[in-house]
Amino acid sequence: MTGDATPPLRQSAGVFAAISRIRQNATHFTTSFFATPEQTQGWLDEGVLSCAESSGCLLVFRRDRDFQHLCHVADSLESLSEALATLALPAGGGAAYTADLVGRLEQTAPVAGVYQEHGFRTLTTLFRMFRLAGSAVMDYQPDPEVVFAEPADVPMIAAFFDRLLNRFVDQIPDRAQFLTSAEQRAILLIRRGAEPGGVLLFENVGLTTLLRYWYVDERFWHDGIGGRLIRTFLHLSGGSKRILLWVIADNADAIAKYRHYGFAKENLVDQIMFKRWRNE
Amino acid sequence: MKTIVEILKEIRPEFDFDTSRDLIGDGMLDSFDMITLVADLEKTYGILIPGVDIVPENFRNLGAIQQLVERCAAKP
Repeated sequence: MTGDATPPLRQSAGVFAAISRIRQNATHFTTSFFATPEQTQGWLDEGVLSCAESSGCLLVFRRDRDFQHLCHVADSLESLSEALATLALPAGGGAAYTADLVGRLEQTAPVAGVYQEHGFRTLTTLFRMFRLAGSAVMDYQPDPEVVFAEPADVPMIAAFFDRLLNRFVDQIPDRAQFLTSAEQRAILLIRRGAEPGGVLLFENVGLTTLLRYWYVDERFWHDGIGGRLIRTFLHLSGGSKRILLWVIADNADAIAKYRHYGFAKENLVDQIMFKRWRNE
Repeated sequence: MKTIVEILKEIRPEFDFDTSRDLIGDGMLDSFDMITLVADLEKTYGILIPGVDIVPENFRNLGAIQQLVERCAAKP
């Protein structure tokens, strides 16, 4: 089974109808597909999303650079296992799959076990941290060097992310997503010459703000850029009830920084499973 | 036995769930929180929430969640 195994869907309604079919009579429903209909339609319009439906399971594939994000919607772990057993080299592009399993660890562990039975391994585990409204903003002073990225900055920022981030783990935005974020004034930037010294990208959802990325070029790690970015961000996020972020579970330095700025750990993990095909 | 509000407070202590009519639209609950909430509701009330009921409409506000729990508890 691959992303091209069934006729291509054109409308997100078709995807969600398939999900409804799976949900019917599901006794041990499991899913890793959390996209909204709007997101789904956007991916369909771009031609990067495809699905394969089997008895009791829908696999959703989303092409990203040289690999595919794999999500499942299944009525039981048995149905999921049967579907994963038919996976083959991604025909839609790339030679690897990643699958994000989100939930409490006791919920993701049995699902991860099914993926492992079919050749996946745990690439890394993230956990979610949150910061409550009303937490003190430390030492905020208006900082003229912290600016909102402009749409014209997008190519530079995209190149910065491509260089620093792990494409299998970090769900790097595409150019269109960067552009939308810039237009929404959701990318903070400190420039160093013609390049970003540091970038912070966030997303507002109702009363919640998601801190998606906070990166400083390694050449400027000790210049205070990161602190200036996040203090400005926390000041700007004063109207949010909570700020959320995901952090790699064993990244002690990052976790210590987040704790310093008032974030606390949640009992929610993202276990990232990975499978690469080798042409042997 | 814990109430639904108490369960919600354990998941998201920062929000006042009594006042919101749209927990999802207000950003108080997201898809990931729903996963946790389903597990906690099933454990607390000894119910099974079928997959077909795990949709945003059933978690939109306290009343919707209450109805969902009652519906699942009434099933044999």
